[in-house]
Amino acid sequence: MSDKNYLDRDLLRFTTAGSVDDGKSTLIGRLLYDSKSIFEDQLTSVENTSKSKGLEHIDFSLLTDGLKDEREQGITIDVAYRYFSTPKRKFIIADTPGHIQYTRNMITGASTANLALILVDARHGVIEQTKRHSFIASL
Amino acid sequence: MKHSLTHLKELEAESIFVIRETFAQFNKPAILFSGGKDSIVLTHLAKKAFWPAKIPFPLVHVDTGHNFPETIDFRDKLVKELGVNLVVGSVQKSIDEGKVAEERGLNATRNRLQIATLLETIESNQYDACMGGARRDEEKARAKERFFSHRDEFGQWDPKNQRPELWNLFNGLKHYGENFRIFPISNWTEMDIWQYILLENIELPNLYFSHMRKCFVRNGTILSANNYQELKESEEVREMQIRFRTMGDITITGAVESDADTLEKIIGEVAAARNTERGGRADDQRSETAMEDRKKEGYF
Repeated sequence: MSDKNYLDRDLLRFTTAGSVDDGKSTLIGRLLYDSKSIFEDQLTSVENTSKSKGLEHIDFSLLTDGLKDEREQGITIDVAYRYFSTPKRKFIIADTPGHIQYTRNMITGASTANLALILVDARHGVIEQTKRHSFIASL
Repeated sequence: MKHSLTHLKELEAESIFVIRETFAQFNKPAILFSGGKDSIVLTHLAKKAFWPAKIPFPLVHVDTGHNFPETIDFRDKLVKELGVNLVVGSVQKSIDEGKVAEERGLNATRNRLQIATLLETIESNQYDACMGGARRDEEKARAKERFFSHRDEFGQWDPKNQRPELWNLFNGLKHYGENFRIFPISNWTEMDIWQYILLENIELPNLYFSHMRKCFVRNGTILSANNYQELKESEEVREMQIRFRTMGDITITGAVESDADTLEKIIGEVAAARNTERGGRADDQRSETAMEDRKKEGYF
């Protein structure tokens, strides 16, 4: 039973980093989806929004991009926190924005994280913002 | 040997740190107490943060007048036990004074009206930091909010201009008339709350446990029969075995059919749940960004 071992579970806080449109929010959406931490009503709401935007697939970034402006523009503005857990560990994920203007919001998310996942788009390679985020994450 | 805290202890430590930081930085903090499990846990954490002294600030309850009677009984009992002050902001009074108008129609609620009463209570008592039991896993707009969330002089939240919040440094600087909402249990999930309640043996209103209640179903949501809502022709009141996952105004809080009458059973049920707890909240279903819109106006 999962309620028996809740007393010896530890906590990992991690964050994503990388440039704009390299798929940080989408990765987290996918991670939540695959670990079955998305509730049915959340998924239905994301499916409906994806459809009304004319997309054929589910846009996983809508799971973390919760603000109105973010959903309209398809970008992440501020850091979002999501949670999931396995029998061994509880995870707190900070999904951070990639735009240079919102670097201060990225720092907020990165400051409390114990681990950073840096995403690089293979088509563009390591670019300025990737380096900037990597540097911040190394602090 | 490596020493590590369990996730519950780590969350507890983080919340107690934020509560103490609030008390250190502000002149007149308060706890926004709704009577729900999250504000009960928050109050419990505040008690621990200052023990053996009493909680050095009041509990503020924004009363819509449409309450579950159990909530009010529980609130009064808790206040008496803790020996703290209780401040009640009454939505009924705001309506009587003509400051807000009651919504009309079948789906009318007093949820939105709370905003005016809340802001007025904060202003007239000059609270500069109101701690709330909101959690980031509850709703997508809440997932974006800082621990220390700045509100301008009109009580509004500006989601596009939030302050950086690095490590454990919290910036409570503000101009005259502005205030903060503070969310010490931001990083807790519904599951953490239940496990913590079990671990610490915290008392809850019996509404959270399975019981028989007169209910009716509207738009797929089970609502408790009450004196404030009229029934449509197709709706009928039935006796059902239910419990509540969240606690709000009686007219908007949806129940779930359940036979979980102990904390252990509830934890099992939460683990298996396929819908979010706020799925039963009519106040969030009004539009896709209902929470963000209300927060910008000054909601909790």
